[in-house]
Amino acid sequence: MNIRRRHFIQSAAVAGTLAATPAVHARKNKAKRYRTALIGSGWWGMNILKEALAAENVKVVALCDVDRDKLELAAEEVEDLTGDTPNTYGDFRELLDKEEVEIAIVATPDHWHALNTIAAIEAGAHIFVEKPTGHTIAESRAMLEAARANDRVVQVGMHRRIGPHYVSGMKFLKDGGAGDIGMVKAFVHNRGGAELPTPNSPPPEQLDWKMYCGPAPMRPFNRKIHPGGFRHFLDFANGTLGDWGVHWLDQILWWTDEKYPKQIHSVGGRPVKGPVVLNDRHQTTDAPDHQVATYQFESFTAYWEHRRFAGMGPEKSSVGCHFYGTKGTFHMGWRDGWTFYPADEKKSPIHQKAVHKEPDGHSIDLLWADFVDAIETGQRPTCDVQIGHDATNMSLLGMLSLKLGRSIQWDGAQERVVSDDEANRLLSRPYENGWSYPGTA
Amino acid sequence: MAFNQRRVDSKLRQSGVVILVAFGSAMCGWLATNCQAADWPRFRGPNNNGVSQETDWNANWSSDGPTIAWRVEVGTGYSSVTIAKGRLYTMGNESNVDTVYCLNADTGEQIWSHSYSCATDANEFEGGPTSTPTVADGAVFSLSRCGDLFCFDASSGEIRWQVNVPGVTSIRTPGWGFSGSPWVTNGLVVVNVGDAGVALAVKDGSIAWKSADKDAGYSSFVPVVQEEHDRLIFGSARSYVCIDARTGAEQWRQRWLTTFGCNATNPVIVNEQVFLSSGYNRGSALLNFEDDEPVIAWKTKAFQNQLTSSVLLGGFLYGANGSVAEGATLACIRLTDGEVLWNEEEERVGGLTAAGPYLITISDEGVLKVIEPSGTGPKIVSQYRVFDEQCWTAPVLCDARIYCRGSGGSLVCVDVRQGN
Repeated sequence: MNIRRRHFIQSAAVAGTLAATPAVHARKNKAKRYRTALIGSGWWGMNILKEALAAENVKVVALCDVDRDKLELAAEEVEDLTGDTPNTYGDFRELLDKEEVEIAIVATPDHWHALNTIAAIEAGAHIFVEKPTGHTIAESRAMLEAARANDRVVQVGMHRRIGPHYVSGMKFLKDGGAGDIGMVKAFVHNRGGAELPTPNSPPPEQLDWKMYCGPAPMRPFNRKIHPGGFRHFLDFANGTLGDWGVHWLDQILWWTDEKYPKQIHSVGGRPVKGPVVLNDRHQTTDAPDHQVATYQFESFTAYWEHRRFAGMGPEKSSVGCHFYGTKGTFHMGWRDGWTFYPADEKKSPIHQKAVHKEPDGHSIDLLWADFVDAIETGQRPTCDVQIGHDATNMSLLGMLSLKLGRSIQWDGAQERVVSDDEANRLLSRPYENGWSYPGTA
Repeated sequence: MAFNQRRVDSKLRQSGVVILVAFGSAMCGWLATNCQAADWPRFRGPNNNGVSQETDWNANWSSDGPTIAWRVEVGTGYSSVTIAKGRLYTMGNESNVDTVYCLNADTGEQIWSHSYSCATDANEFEGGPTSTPTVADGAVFSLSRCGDLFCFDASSGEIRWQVNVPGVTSIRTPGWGFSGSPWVTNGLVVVNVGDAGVALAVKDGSIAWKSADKDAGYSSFVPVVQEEHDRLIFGSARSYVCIDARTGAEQWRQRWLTTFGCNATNPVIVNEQVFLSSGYNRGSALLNFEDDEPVIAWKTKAFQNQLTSSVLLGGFLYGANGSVAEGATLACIRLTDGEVLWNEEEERVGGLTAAGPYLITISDEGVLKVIEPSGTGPKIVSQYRVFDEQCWTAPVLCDARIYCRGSGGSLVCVDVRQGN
């Protein structure tokens, strides 16, 4: 894309890192090019696909999107990059019916992840799916079970388990660098203000709006939703906690030996964005503009905090996790790398810079290499569907408590809320427009 | 791009429509002896290319920087300035209220203003208007994000008429609101609303013709031939389109998809070729024409103008390459083959214009620079920080002053007269 020097240098650095990672294995089988389909070919889907193309182990056979502009753009880019002309589809079922697909990349809005993934698994494909794994917990569980039943590799796009500074930071923590940790905070803060209702409009001619809504309730089209705005509409996603929360709460699960929290409580709302509007004429988003969620584990307490106003404030970073230990505070950040602030203020902080693929600050290249390695060795990938499921559940349990307005006791072994039928009903949701909820829930 | 102003005016006079056509530029050229310098009566200037013909200005500033003639606050926004007959026009937004300003270009003193409500919101960057007023026929035309088109009497500020264009035409508002500057020709004012524009009568704001109810793009209009003001090229949401402004009839259309339906820059037209550039993972292309239909001569993703249009000097296009939110950088692309000759990582650009051999750039944080570019790289001649705020608006050189506008509302007049 841009030929900026900075980007070039960073790419070179990542390439250097690759040599020490499983990417070496992925290149063993040089002749092998996996027949790959992309379901959901917008910005992030194309980011994943371009990393796959750069790894030179895929042939893009098909693209799918409910927005024909996105399809056309993606097909043009694939053709420019490879000379191949992929087939294009507006319906993933038709794609899976007509194409022989070995790998499917799923990068649709959250409410489609389960149906897309399970259908592709059942068609025989290995899956690289964007996080979160599901929009409700039972969808995510059904994805996990489909992967296991069909013996397919499912890698979830949680590149923060493989990016170099995350790996070195986690080693620092697990080696006791921050001492005994009693509390963890995960957070993301942005700027923002009041939200005014946006007028509804007819769906753009290139968009299949009914298919976009899919299993979610139909609602009037609004430009706030598409393109790129679905995350803050709870029919399609789970707000900031369901987006950033999955990455950062996963850092906590990566660090701890415990598998799940036992009690969750969340509060939040829209005092700044204002009331939710959804009528024939106008809409606003409906996700909370701030939220706090506490997660009680056996041996420590964790909490999530996001604000979509006020910016970073007096803190040193607007995003990441703070692990509070007896030796000091460890900040696992994003572009700002990780930093350890010793409790003894006479000691200097320890800092590790981040290395990412830019401009979007990810490590999908490493995650892709790990994915292909898992396919070829039969081992579980670094961000296996179980890991994605557990991290997604952290976010979705926070949203569940927020919606209920009370704390919930979580039996993680059974994946049920203890003595709360109303809460258990919200582990899944009714599907609309003739779609059937996956799995046995 | 040697469009000679006098030659243009002589042709216009022959055609007998000199008063109706582009009053601002034509009149000032016509009465050249009475004008200190050409006016800048519309976005991207009298020649619609971001290039000023002025040569009598000081590009070499002392280490103390140039004199700041005046500073005023005009509210949030990305609107540039237009200047005619010593008056400056721009727009800004404060607490969901837009204001159109008419200021004395010499002193910054307000001559008149008009305010009206116009909602802004957080998906619109800092918010506020992105369109720049157009001066023509003794009137000022301004278009808000919400589609409110005003026709003001240029001298008094009296509203001759106002129309909410999407309201009366039942045409949808695109994702970031309306952004293109109005174009005035043949008794019509054309705005970038709908799939391929809407025209209203200058005399009363009645709708003359309209295009389909589809998302508009965010660019302004550029005439195919400078001497004729009726055939216009501009960005729609998913294509660049050429229309006959008299009827709205479409001449041709080049499909030009971006990730967010955002074609925001003006095409650059040279020798019957058209240069297009968009951000959002699109890139640039040069169009040739065969049987009056566009054919892509080359395309590249290595040069992407997201919001600020490039300028052409001596066969090279200079522009802000990349995402403005990430920090677009000054880059040079060769017109003939689309080769990016350089991309200066340290040279962040929010907006730019050209005059003589120089580029006048402003960084996305308010550092104004005079740069002498070439095919091998940029040479910084002068620089000075005019304010400390986000700036994605092109500076304007007019009558040896450079006008800079930050998105937070700072409007600064930098005096670059010789000897100053």
